[in-house]
Amino acid sequence: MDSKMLVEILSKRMNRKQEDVEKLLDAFITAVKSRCGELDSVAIPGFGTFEAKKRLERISVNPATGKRMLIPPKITISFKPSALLKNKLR
Amino acid sequence: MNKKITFPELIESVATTTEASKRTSEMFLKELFAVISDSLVKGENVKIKNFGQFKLTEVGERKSVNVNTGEEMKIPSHTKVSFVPDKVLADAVNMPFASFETIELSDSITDEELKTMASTEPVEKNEQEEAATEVGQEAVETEEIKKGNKENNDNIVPETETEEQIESAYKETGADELQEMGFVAPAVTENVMIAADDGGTKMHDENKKVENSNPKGKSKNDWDDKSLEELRRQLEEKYTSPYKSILFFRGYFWGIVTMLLISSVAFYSYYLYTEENRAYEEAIAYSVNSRNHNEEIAIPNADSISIDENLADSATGIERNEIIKVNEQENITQDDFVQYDTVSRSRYLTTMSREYYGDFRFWVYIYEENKEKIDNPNAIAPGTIVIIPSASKYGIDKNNNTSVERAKAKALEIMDAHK
Repeated sequence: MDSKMLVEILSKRMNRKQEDVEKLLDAFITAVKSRCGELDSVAIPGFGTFEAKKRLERISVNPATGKRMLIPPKITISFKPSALLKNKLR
Repeated sequence: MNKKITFPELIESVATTTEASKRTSEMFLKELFAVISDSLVKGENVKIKNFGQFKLTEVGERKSVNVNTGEEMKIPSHTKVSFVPDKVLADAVNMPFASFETIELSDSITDEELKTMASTEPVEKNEQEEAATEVGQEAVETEEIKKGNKENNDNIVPETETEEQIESAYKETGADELQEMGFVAPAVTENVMIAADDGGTKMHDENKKVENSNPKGKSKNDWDDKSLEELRRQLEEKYTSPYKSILFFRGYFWGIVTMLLISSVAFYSYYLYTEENRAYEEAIAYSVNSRNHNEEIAIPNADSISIDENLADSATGIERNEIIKVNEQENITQDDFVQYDTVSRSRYLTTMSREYYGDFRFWVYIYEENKEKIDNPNAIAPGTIVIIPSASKYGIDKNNNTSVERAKAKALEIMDAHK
């Protein structure tokens, strides 16, 4: 399922225009963006948690050439499904 | 920072950005996740534009050991959901570190050098680092003491002098840095031992040891005092030659010089601190005027360079359009376009550059403008107030390729200088 279908389904279920739903979806995405940008985590009950994790810089070696590379620090976003969602999927 | 955003908070932020009612946004979010999880249960991947993809992966059956009982057990096969963030989201979250690129290391760099680099790299370590540099200063001074020590390694008085010096240094650096100072102190004692070896006589050696342990207050009994007196007398008999007395006075001289150095540094840093406090208040007034963005202002440390100087610099460097009376003593004039911003834990030079010039790579010019204040662009104390130069001053144009290239080259230069 892609974005378009998701918006369609949502607009049907909510009895709202697709544009409105798109707006809300954008707002949600920006909220997660800004929150995770500050290293906060966003918890959604019954679904899971979006967490920002800081990865420290590290040195990795290219096994093919043997060259050492300094990988810069990085903030990545990770998703932890809640127990409820995990059980549903089982 | 490391806060957990709950569902109601999320609803509120969605409601405020869309100007929809809280009820609709709550309904929307609930529906959204219901639809996503329904679709996942059906076995469908869900892809959301600009956000990411929820992927389902099959995990096969595998054996495992129960941690509590040690029994072997089987984990049945199941499906796992994983989230792959979209590039837009990943980049947005990683924005503070976007300016870093993977660097190929040359073979000549040793592991030790890398360690020291690592200690100066992360921005979060600022406070500790500042403390460390302070300790570094003290360490340099003790180094000097050591030098003085070496020149008069046959004398006792300068040694006790240095002990005093270190004691005072302890007081100055404070309890937090005791550990670091502890690293320096053994070196001095070692030096004393070397000095004792140079002295040659066993008696001398003993004397040193007594001297050495005395200031630490471990041996304060009569025997020590007596034997010390005796040894000192014997030593005095020995070292009555004029050469020795010259050495003695030289040691004394070095002791006084180092004492003066330390006190002057202490006075200077105190002076800077008070000066900066004043400048800092002014600067806050400025930044409030020019921008409403001074969250998370920490009290600047004593060893960062006075903002006052920078204010003066920017005032003379930039063409003046409008004269604002700022200070009664010095009528600093300000360009209308001069803006100030505050570095915080989540607000870096790159963030500002992106905001003001539209491209993070122009951070080099902000750095250039505030060179006096910022030593290492990778380690700026949170709360440092920086001047944002006008785009025309450095010819900043995000649409101009040569301008961007120039900024890139400059960034490389700066990074090289701070390796």
